[in-house]
Amino acid sequence: MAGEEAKARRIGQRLTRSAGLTSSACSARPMQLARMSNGAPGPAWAGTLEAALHSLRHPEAALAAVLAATAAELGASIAAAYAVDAEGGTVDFLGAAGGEGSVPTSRHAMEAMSEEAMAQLIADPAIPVAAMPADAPFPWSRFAWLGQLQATLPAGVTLRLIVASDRPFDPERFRGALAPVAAVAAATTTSREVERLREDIHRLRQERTLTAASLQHDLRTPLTSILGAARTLERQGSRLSTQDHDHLLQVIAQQTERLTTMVSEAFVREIASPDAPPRLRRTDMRELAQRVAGAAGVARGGEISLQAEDGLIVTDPDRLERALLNLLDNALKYSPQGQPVHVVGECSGERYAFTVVDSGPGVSPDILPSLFAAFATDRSRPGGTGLGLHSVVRLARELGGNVSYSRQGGMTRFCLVIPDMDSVHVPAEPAAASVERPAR
Amino acid sequence: MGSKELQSLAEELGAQDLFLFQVVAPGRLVNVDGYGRGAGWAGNIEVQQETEPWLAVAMQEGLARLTRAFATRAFGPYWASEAAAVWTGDHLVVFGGEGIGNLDSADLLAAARRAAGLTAETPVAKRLADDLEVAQAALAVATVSGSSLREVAEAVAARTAEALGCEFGAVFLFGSPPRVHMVDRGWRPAATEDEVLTALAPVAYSAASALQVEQDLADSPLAYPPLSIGEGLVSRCSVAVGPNGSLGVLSVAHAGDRPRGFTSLCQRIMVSSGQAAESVFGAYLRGDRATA
Repeated sequence: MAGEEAKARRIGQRLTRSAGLTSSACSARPMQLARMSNGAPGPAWAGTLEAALHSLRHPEAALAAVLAATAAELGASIAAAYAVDAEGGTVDFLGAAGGEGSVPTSRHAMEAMSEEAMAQLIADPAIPVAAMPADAPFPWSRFAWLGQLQATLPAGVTLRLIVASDRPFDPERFRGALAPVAAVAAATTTSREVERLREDIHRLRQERTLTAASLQHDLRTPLTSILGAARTLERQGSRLSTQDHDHLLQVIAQQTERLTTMVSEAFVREIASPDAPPRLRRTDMRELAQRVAGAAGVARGGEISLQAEDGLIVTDPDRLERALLNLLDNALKYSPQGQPVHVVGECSGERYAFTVVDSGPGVSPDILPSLFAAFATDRSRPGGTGLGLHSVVRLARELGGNVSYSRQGGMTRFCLVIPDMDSVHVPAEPAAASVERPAR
Repeated sequence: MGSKELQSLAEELGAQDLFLFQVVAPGRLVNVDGYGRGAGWAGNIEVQQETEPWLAVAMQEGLARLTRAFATRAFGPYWASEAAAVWTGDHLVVFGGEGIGNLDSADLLAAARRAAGLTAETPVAKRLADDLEVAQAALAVATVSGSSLREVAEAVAARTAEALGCEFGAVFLFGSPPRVHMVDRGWRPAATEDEVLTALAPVAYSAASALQVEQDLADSPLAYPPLSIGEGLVSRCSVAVGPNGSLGVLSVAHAGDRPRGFTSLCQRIMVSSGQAAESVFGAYLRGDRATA
């Protein structure tokens, strides 16, 4: 017996060290462990703990093993562990185990325990084992006796150990179980935290890649316009009319200005403030459309037919230009040679709608569900980065507007609708993109 | 008995397996005959409509299809990547095999009606053969001997796994300290004995007096790594050994290479193997004590 007690003490000391427990309730663990089973822990229980300690590579399995051994040692039906973050108001189910099919039949209810349901279970924290409260939630209500203990885990999370049974059990033995459960639960919560951090890092990496790729895509269009205009001036400078010459110089100046704005905006967005608000100005929509059509024509080549109604709208012209330029660039890219791309601008009071129509092949039905997603490319049409339409949606959303796609009469239509931000309340997350499926 | 006709029917349709279920009570069905696994498992699959969502859909809507890139549990112990279940009004017919998921509904319904017309009871010879299989499995375990507890436990696990065609077998024995002994019949966890013992502990402590069948480890609240679906096991059957499971638990599992679960015949074999194991371990422990 002395040997087993000494072994239990050694296990307890290791558990307390490995858990990094901070609760005073856990400070005397080795002695309490030794008191389990009327003075010494059950050999199977102690051995299971030992094995669990060697299995922290699988923390949830280790916790389930310790909970199973604890429930068996106490003669109880279920032992469950929760991590309660009082500050965040969250209850995290860590694991449960027990006998006679109790866990399989009630696992979902145990997983769904809310903070309110948890509160219903606590009669008096000073009394670890008591008759089950009359209003106890399922599955605990199925049992006559309830045991509850808590310990503070690292990172300020509270471990709540709940045991339910049809018959009363020894509170001292129950107290003795807290340290090993807390030790393994600490490993479980740490493992979950590591997993969450890993997911966060992965998400941030994806966002960073997307941002970099979007910026590269956005910069490419004005750069192409500048390059196109510069090459035309270089090769045909002497043959150009003064009007064409001035137009090309104007394109270079405008697109350089846009590039400067985009770079500084990207800097503000990424480094200073990720949620940089739109820079609103009352903007002449027709003038904006002419500017964009000129730049797109120079960059990509091809004919653009523009019919834009007058309209003065409060919006962020830089963002709107980028969105419209992306749509036009896309249309020119896929439009058959010699076929013009049509841009129609319509003003309806508090909104302005640009419709870009081309006679290209349209979007493959396979890609329709994810047409506006990042990196969604149509394999039948090589050369796309899958970022243009995504960028249009993002910009439209920032402007409180939306983009839609439809295919009618052999023509591909993208419609960009922008509200007058002076008069319209912009919802935080408007549905910014939609696809109208062609009739079958 | 319609086995020959069921075979030609299955072959016409291109089905590798055919299960013919008869309703034996409201919501309860038994596989009375079939082809492929349906013949091998005849009389040994009893399913409940309320616990088999896929079959329930077939019984409500007339037809349910299963088409997956990899095998998944369809019902009871049956795993398949493609299957179709057809409710004829009084029988449920399940066809399994490559290409079945895309067959025309009218063809499936016509085949199911023909199969239902061939209904017969599970033959007495099949039942006797099943009983013999149970007895042979128990005998194989009961005649285990060895010079160490490990040797005995590994032999018990191996013979049980062999009787059930399982790829993995293990015995968890309570004691000071508890021990786990395992056999590899095609699958082995990449883990230490402590890790396997830890993963089996929730089953061992909860199997006090019961047979535990986990037909799909993905849905089991008792499956933990390294004995979980993520490591390649798909189903598990465990039985308590000793009075109230006081000695431990005997557990066998199927791996993902040939995914399947445990029929009621498998479960009977498991129970009788557990009883035989109790006497083997009891005898060993008594001898051990006598020697000491």
